[in-house]
Amino acid sequence: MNLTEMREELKKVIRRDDVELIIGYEKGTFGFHARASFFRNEKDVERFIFSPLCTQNLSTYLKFEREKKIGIVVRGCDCRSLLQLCQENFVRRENLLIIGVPCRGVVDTGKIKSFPLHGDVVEKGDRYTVISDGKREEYRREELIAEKCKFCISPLPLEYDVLLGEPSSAKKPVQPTYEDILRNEEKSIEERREYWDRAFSRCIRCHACRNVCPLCFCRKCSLESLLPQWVHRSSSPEENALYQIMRVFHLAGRCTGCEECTRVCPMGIPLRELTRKLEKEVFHLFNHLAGMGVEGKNVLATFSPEEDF
Amino acid sequence: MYILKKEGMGKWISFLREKFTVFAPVFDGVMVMRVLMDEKPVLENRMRLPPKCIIFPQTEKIFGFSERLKVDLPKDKILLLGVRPCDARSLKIFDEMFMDDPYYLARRENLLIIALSCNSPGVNCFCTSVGGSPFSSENADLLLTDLGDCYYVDVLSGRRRELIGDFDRAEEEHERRKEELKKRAEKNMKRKVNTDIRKILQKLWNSPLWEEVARRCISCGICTYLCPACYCFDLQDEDYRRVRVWDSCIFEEYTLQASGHNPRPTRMHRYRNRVYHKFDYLPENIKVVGCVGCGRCIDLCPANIDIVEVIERVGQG
Repeated sequence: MNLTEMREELKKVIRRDDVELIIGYEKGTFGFHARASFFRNEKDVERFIFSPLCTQNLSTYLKFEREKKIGIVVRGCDCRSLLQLCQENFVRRENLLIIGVPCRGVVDTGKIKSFPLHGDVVEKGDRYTVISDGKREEYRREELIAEKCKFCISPLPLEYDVLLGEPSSAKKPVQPTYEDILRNEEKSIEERREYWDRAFSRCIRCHACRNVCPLCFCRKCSLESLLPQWVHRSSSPEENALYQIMRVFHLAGRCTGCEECTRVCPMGIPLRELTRKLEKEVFHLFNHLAGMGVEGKNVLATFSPEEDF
Repeated sequence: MYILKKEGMGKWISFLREKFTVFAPVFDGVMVMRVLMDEKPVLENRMRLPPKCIIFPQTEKIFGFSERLKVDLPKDKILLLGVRPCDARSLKIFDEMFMDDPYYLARRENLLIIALSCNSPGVNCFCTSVGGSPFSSENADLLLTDLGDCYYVDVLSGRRRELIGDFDRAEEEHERRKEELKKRAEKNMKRKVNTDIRKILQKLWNSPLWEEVARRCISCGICTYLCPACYCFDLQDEDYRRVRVWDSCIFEEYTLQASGHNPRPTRMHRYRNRVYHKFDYLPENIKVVGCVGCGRCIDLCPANIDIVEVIERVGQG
């Protein structure tokens, strides 16, 4: 489906009486950025774009938007966030109009060597053409694709009301294997300790990892609580580690692996290694993956009397 | 003026390290400023965090309760090497805001800055729009300019004897090359915007613009924590000590009062405050724009909120 056809589909959605708002993407202001955009009418929809650069998980904005029924553009991974939010009764499925996109993977712009004022990425088969201020460069898909996409179990949204494209055009899903995490586990405790001490010594506690997470929707966050104060406001490798441990543990069995935390971290902390580790533990213990459907129970908030401890 | 040959850099740094605690940019996952040990500084790239992280540290002990409120002021002689002109200029705002603060002053009085001109400004740099220049020497004691095979050294303060090593005298040829680079850098500045928006801002308080811009905001502290000109802090009592920690006006909690009332309850209120603080309140109160045009908040905003775009929109009224 080309862009014009996609926009036509979105116009059909916004014309519906029940949908007041569509959250989609528009061109960003510089470089390779695409950013969130809020469409209320057909004219707004003209701004809509879609490309391998549309990486932001838009379901985060459900924390802020108050419209009754919201149309939201999601890739496979972002759709799992929506489904998990439905499971947790944060939103009702009937108040969402899921506009799915069959996903072929997103580009990690950090892997592109140039920093143009105006950049774009065009996908052609298994190659990306990167356009930097008019100059063209060819990359292979594996060179630019985001790490999360290499492990994606659901490139095609698991549930959608409208699909922008053919289901068959999505990338092939892979089985959850967690080889990367298992490799990390082979390292010695000392080695891992040093690795994370270094990483956490950089943390500036800007809360971007927490705030960008679609599943961190608590009105009162224990990371900010003063009475009792679980984590000090002072920044040190130990306090910062505690901050992340609390954040990540609250996402165990809930994190759907959109890896927005890793994308936004201004200090380059490999947070995905923490969230994936917890995802792996939950998968191996309970054979459970988060956000695989609207129905489903939260694995760490469910108790069965027959359970054997 | 002088010339420092690139092969003489290591020797000069050792010379400086004998007298100062030398902080310089190094790569550790991202560009960070660390006390230089034996590694080579990475001068090509700018630091992710501005130099405020050294002279206004994120966490600073103000006093300890068990030590009869004893205050230990830092005594280190600090030298910052490779600070970019925009970051050096930002100290002017700190000097105004912390003019009575003993902790800040203790560091500031012992601080020397060796700045480095930006030969190729980044895509989001706009220092020339806020009164700066990629070759500005404001607040610097020395300004280095990379001429390819050597550095051109401008000496700007009376601390010559402490700073100048085994340098050669600069010749006219070097001066000409520096001027050329300066002209080229200023010309290559891709973003330009009129930041004299005080008058228009007076009329825009209730504009729908703020709602529209802040709609993308996720309320994280990246724009403020990475800003060389943002100086807000909080005081906390923890573990028998009082600490000063960075705080951000973008956080919901920042203006939350004990009663539960919040005078800046939404993202719109908070983002609007950020713009007014930098481009209206500070120019009015201390006659300085609260922005040095480094572009970090644009580079790293998770939602691509772009201050240049916002100023342009404000300019359109």
